Amino acid sequence: MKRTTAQAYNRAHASVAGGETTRRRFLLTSTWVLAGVGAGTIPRFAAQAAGKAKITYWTPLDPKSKNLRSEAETAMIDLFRNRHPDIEVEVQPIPWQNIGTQTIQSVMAGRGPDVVQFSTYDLPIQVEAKTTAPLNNFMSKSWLAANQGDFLLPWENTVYGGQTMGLYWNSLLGSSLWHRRDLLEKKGLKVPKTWEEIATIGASVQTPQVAGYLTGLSKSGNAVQLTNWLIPSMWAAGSEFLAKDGRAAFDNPEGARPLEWLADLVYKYKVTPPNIVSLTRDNVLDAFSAGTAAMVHCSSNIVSSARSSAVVGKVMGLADSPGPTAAKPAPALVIGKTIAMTRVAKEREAAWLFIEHMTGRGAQTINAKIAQEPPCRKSVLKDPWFQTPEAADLKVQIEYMIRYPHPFQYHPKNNILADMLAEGSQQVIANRRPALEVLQDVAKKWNATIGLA
Amino acid sequence: MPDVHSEGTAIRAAAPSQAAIARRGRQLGARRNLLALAFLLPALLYVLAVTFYPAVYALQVSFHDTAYFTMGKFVGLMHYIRFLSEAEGRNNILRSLMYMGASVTVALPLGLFLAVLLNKPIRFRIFFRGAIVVPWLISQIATALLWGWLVNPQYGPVPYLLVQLTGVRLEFLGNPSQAMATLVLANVWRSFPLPLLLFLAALQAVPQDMLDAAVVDGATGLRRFWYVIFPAIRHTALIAFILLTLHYFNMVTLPLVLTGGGPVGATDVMTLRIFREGFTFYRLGIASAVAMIVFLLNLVFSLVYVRALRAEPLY
Repeated sequence: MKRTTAQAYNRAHASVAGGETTRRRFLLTSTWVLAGVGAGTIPRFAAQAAGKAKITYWTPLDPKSKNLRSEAETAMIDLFRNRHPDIEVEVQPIPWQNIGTQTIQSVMAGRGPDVVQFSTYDLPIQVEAKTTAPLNNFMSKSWLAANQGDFLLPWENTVYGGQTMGLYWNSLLGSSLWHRRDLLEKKGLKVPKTWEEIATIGASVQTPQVAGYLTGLSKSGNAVQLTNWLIPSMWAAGSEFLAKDGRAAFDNPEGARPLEWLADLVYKYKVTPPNIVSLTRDNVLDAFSAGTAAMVHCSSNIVSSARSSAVVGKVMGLADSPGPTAAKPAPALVIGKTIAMTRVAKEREAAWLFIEHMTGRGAQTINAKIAQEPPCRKSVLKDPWFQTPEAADLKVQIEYMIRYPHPFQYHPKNNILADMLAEGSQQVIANRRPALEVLQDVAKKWNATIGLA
Repeated sequence: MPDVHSEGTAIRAAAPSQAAIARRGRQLGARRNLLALAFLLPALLYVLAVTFYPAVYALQVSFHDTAYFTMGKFVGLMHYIRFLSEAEGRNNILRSLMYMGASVTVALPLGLFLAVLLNKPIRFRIFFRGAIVVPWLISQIATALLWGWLVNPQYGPVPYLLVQLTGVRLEFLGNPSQAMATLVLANVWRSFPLPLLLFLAALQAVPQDMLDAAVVDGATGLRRFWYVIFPAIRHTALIAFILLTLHYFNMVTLPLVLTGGGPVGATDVMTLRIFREGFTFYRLGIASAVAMIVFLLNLVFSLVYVRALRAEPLY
């Protein structure tokens, strides 16, 4: 009786003070919290418990996006999953403009992905920042003998200090001339083969809603829209871009010709609006896809995006990038995205198998067929599919890359140089400064930046 | 009969002395202070870890050369001297002050004007009060993407409609002088609800009898506003001014996404320079130095504001 009374008293007291209820609530809450924490770690533990290796892959292509490039990469990864059921791949999309920076930050913090797909200019920066792991140990002599010569792009471009720090994920034509076949055919005009023809044809086809020629000089995204066109144009005009020691080699009259031509397009021929100073690569792609630009220079990896446009998809044409004379087009800027292992990768064997697969013939064929991306391997081009009408875009670009190659390796501080060139180009157009004067200023600043003043 | 005197003496003898009472009081006070400190300590440690330590670390980095995210050799004030002596650095400071000044000049009066309107007994007042706050709910990134699309010269609706209706073609982000104005406009569009809400609350606290007295005295609307309403909300106006200037001076997301600092550095504010130096060029030393200069300027602004607030009598 006494105990009952005491228990009743305690219960009443506890319920008033919230004691017993709070204890139960605390136990329940902490159980849920632990369950939640466990849920986050269970997949990894479960994978490990099941004998599966788990790798994290950072890519700019979101698997949930409904575009051909994302679809292609998802198919490439699914093929890997089928072939390697003992390896789990977690795909994390990161915007292409930030993937380099975020990789450095995460690896420096000791945490990061196992494998990353880098933008064209990123690998030298990552190597300098010591975020990538060498792949030499994974590449046997027989593997090298069978594969090294199969890559379209120079093998040595991804080798630093004797160590291969990444493999090319694709081959990328930095700049070709996209044009509206319907507008040219309507006026009975041919595809331009020289800079002068871009100006005159642009003037013929332009309307108040459609610019004759469009490009973008924004610093955003490492100024790729500018540099992908400017670098091969400087070569076409007879100037080099950088000397072997990294010093600027473009501060001469030949190097200034492309920007002088661009300024003429704006002010003399009036086929290009002056607001190009603020346009990014994505703005130029969107403008062309929306039908408000008759001709643009763009890269091969986004051809499929423009082809899927309801406005221009069927009437878009691709051509070699014109040079100053009709003798030959501008050299093809042949670059490529790279796929690399980070130095914080936990499952290195699995990461290497993934890299090997993504750059292998099977995955590269999928990427070419679905996303129209030029493959990184020569042997993939032997597939009969490349002779079909579906591969017409790829054929034009690959032939251009093969006939007029000028492979290029970015400087580790290219991001700084691209920023300077974008600012300088904006001054040429917005402030009407002479192009040679601007390039000489850029060269001086650049040489000082890399300690070669 | 009880000896009251003796008892009183005894009681007085047993009672603690004044000094003992004071000592006990001090002990209790100290115990209370310790208890308060114990409760505050976790939050204090968190604040120190999240704000104080990074600031001190950034100060340290600003005196060193850096390679990516690794600190190198000590260089003293080199980064500060470089930033302040270069034309680009001075341009950054000027652009920041322009951006802040222009945005506050538009946002504050706009917020006040709309607050006065929304304080009137108009129809659907509740709906308008809700709708007008919507821009404040939109993130800076979304605002930048939205405005970037709206004013895009190739496919944006605003330039198109402008040409169709007026024949005038504006370049917006494609022109150095128009780019800053466009950025300020986007910023004001997003942030004017803040001063609006502050003013609206202050207006509702204005004593009605004073307004009635002013009406009886024959004051017009404008005079009532200037001599009755504005003095009542002056303190709120100062607070709104302080909040907005600090908010605008430290803003990075909107300029970064909308203009990237261009064209030709026309919108290259100090916070953008910090971002670019730190996360595009990986030059953390100079990024930290510029960040310290921003911090110092914020400190100066804050001290000025604190003095102004102290001098400002509450109505």
